[in-house]
Amino acid sequence: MTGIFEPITAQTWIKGNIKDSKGEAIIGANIYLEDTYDGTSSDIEGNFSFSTSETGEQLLKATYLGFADFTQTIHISGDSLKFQIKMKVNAMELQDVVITAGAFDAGGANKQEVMKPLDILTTAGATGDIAGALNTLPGTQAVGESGRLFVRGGEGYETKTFVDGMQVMNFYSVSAPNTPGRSRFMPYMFSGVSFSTGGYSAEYGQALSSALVMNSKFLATQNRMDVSLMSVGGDIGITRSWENSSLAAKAQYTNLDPYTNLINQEIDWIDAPTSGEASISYRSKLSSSGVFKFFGNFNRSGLALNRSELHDPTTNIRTRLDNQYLYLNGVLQDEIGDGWNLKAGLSYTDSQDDIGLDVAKIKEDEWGIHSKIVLGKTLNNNVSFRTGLDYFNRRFQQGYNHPDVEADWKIGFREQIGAWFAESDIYLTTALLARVGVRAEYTSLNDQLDVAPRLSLAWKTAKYSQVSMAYGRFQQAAQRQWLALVPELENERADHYILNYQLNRSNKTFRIELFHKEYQDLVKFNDPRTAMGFNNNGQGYARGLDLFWRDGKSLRNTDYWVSYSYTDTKRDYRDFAAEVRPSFSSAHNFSFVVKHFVNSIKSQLGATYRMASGRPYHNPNLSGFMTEKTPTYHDLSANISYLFKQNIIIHMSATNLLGLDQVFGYEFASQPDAAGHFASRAIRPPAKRFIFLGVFITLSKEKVLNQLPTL
Amino acid sequence: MKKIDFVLCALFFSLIIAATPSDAYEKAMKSAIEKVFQAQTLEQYQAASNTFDRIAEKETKAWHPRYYSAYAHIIMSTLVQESTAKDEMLDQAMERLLAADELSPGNSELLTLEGFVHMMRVVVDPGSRGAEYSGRSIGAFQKAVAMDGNNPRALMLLSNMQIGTAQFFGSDNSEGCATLAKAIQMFEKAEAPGNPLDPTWGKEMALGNQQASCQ
Repeated sequence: MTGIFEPITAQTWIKGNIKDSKGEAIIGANIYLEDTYDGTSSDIEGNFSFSTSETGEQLLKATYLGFADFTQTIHISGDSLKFQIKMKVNAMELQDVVITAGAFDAGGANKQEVMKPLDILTTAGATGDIAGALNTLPGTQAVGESGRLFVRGGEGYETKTFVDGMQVMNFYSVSAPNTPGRSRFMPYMFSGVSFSTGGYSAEYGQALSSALVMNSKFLATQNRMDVSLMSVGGDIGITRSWENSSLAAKAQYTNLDPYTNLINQEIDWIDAPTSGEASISYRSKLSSSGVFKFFGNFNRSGLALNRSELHDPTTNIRTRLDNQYLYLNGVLQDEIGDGWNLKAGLSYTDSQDDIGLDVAKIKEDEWGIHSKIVLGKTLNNNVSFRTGLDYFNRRFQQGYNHPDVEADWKIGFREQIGAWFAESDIYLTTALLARVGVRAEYTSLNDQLDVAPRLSLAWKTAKYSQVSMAYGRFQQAAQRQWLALVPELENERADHYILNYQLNRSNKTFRIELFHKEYQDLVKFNDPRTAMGFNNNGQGYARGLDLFWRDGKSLRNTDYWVSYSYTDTKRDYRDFAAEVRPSFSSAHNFSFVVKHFVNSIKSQLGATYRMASGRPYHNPNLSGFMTEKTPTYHDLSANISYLFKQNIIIHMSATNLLGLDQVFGYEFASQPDAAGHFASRAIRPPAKRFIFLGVFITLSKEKVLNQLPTL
Repeated sequence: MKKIDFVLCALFFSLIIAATPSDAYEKAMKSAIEKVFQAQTLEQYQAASNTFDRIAEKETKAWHPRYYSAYAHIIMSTLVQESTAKDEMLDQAMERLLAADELSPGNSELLTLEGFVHMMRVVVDPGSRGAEYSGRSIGAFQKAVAMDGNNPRALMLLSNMQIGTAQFFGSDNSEGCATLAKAIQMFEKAEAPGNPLDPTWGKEMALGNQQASCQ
């Protein structure tokens, strides 16, 4: 039978060899005739051969992961054919080199990640606080009385937070004077956290020093209920998951009163911090490419304490602080055809503070929206392009009322900022990536148009190592309390220069980064209580070196990292009498974080040691400006997470195990006493130690689930 | 005459091709399935998955070639060393499973492989992924069992997770062993599948697991 068909089923052999552009054989490439089953895989030398019964015009195709598809029209007439195929790398897909200058990435698709979202939760000393964990990375400064991220000689306000690309205002919860505030959102919400200590993308503006960019998780895949009982309160969370959408809601109540009654406090609390919070998050898959995310967070918190005036310890000023906070964030993302990707988002923040100082009342209300639209496209194997528009509208109002002196005034401003940015990733070779961007921003208050260039380069020097550099100009509107007095203040400005080397090999990371930052147009004034003498003549610089080493491999069940930062910084801003190192900056910062899992007791143990050299402060009793230094700061914190059952975790953590005296600085009386001496008081943590105990229970159909990722 | 014979033959042949395209598909698939279960090395698995990918590109409505290519990629993830390469293989597997899922929604076998991918994610980095991905894989296996209570592969992989969890907590593994016993029972009961391309793998693995953990 078969003999009859032979003339028709005659087989033609297609042979050849397949190489990459460097001439190296590609092993396992898929070579075939399109729309037929005929084909084969290349062997260890890149050789291939297969036979086909097809004739005439055919399309020969070769595919391999990380390479652009190869196609060639061929003519089959019975004679065997031979091809030398050269495949070109699809640099976009391969992502062999990524920009690492200034950036610490956790999660997400970045192959060079140095931290995972879970790390944030299990770092001792951070007590589950996002900023607390990031403060163990190089480039940050230990500023224990604030809790914020102070990056490379920059103040806390110079770091801005973005959730799914949308700005978050008032990211930290309210706290008593000189006590740390906490980051508002729970780390478990996020699948990826990118903490940039400088030189970040043109997509982000209004941040002088640092951008904290967090991406929220997508669809929840299981129905579950989480219950937490903590020494400071409790929470309950419910998650419902459907085929293409999910909804999660959480309510939390915390009250530190019982705790502060039990443990001796530096602060004379009337009402220790109390907070009630509700959050909701909805995710929906609109189509195979479309995604919608909504997140809402509502919080009310308050505290009250007695404070004595420094110059007169017998005074007792009752201080009360209440905050109401609402944050809403909605983001839509989809492909809109022709390879274009669209992302549109809207966020809304409303934060109201009511402060009572004895009978005086201060009311602060900040309200803002941020809307954004971004279009992106991969133009070819080597180039991608993104452009977008930002619009910010912010209102700030401050009211003051004192019945005794009949003072009653209100100040404030409304600010609008419009921005456009464009950015392109260009693979000059597979080992050399350039990111070129520009951001133009118009600010309504001062009628200023700023154009800020951004440039990053990353060069892969060897299989596991790369060198990156970045330059960028960054600007930010003056702080709200100054704008309320003098709305036409100019924007503050910083130029970043960064050089980075990173070695990343199977769970071990080494990186070293040199940076230089030039500050211009910082706000200066004579007396902050009047609107007189304000100008933008302040300036400064910060330069230094960051070192980071992480090893999650060498020791069994153990992961540790070491960070060291050296910062040389001086600035002349606010009411400074000279260009000096500001009081929030210490020259040397060191962190050691270790986590160890002990199988026999099903527990993870963690410890963090932090050291910061002395911080300068100004003593008005001495001549000279900012000549004094605080003692060196040390802290050793530890935690333990015990998996009691599959769905029950018991967590305990404590800060300052050694009970060392931690002094962040000193405050001085605003006026001298009768003897001409300015009284002083050391700024210390509210208590020597903070001890936390919590039990976390998860109820779900899949009993193995637990809240480990949320700790 | 000869010429007419030839034309007739050609016509006849083209009719065969036109009438039974699935024969060629089935033949190609059967041979490739045989190869993927004989494969030992990374190269052999890669070659097998390439074959399935070629078939998938032509057969735009068929979930089977995508399923087997995903399966090959899952096994390949165990044969490469670097964790980024392992993840890349699992990403590739997931991509194919999602495509297959569009063609055959609510398919218990596809969901089983999806759970398998999650399970292998845990293996890449148990410390930081364990909690999330074990939950996701167990969820997928349970859903797969709910869709088809007789799917022995879903039962076997579910028992794998149950036994592993019990071992970690030092608790009784009878639940997992019961699931595994049911899986083996289903493997033995399984008749020749309605579609000759449907998956049949897993019996040896199940028996091996039983010997290792439940006796």
